[in-house]
Amino acid sequence: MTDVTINDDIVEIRISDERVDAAAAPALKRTLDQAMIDAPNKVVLDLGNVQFMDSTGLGLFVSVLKKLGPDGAIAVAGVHPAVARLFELTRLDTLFRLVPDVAAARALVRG
Amino acid sequence: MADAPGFSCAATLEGVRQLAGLLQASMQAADVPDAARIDLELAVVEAANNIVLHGIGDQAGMNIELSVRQVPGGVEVVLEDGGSPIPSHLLDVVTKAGLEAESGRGLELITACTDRVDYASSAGRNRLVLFKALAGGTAT
Repeated sequence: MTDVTINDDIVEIRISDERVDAAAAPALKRTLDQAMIDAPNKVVLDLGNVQFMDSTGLGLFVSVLKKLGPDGAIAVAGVHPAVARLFELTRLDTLFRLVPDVAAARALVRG
Repeated sequence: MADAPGFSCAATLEGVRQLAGLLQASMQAADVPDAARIDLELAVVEAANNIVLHGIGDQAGMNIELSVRQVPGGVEVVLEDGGSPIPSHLLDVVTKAGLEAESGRGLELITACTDRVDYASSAGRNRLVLFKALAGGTAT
């Protein structure tokens, strides 16, 4: 399950599932595509519940990132070790800013 | 870590989840260190996803078999399937996906998460062997 809320100028996406993988990807892609229509280009992605993510799941968030444009910002909150490892191995920790919690993510994307 | 019994699951994306759960349970029972468990789960899931999405396709009733065992210096995970084999040119040179790529990272991750990858295909069966070295040589 994915909760999407818009608070002021920030889209907050909270993933409740423990696994973001190829099995979950089709439904999650539909949710994210819908959420990003006419949405602000500042995104907080809360992965605090996600224990595992594969490259298919990661690709969905790359897609979100690419929609934000040059003035956009995205921060990822609460990543567990297996998810952090995926970001590190793919070097995507250089594009996604990983922070400990949602409050830090909000502060980061607001600049 | 004693040799674990082999597992078999349906060659579907839901089956891959089941396989990952069985792998994790096996490695936790054997006290495989967290870092190695994380890497092996990711490598196995990426490999099994590739089997389902590229090797099996629409063929129904296919399975993926997995076994885990201790070998000198580390842990060996074997995945076997009866789908189409991985084209050899993809294994000869594993390229890194660009940062903005939305797919195509599977083989890159499999090699990054393991210390050795062996692959063979014969008589309609494919066999992928993933080796992960453990500090001190064995799980404690």
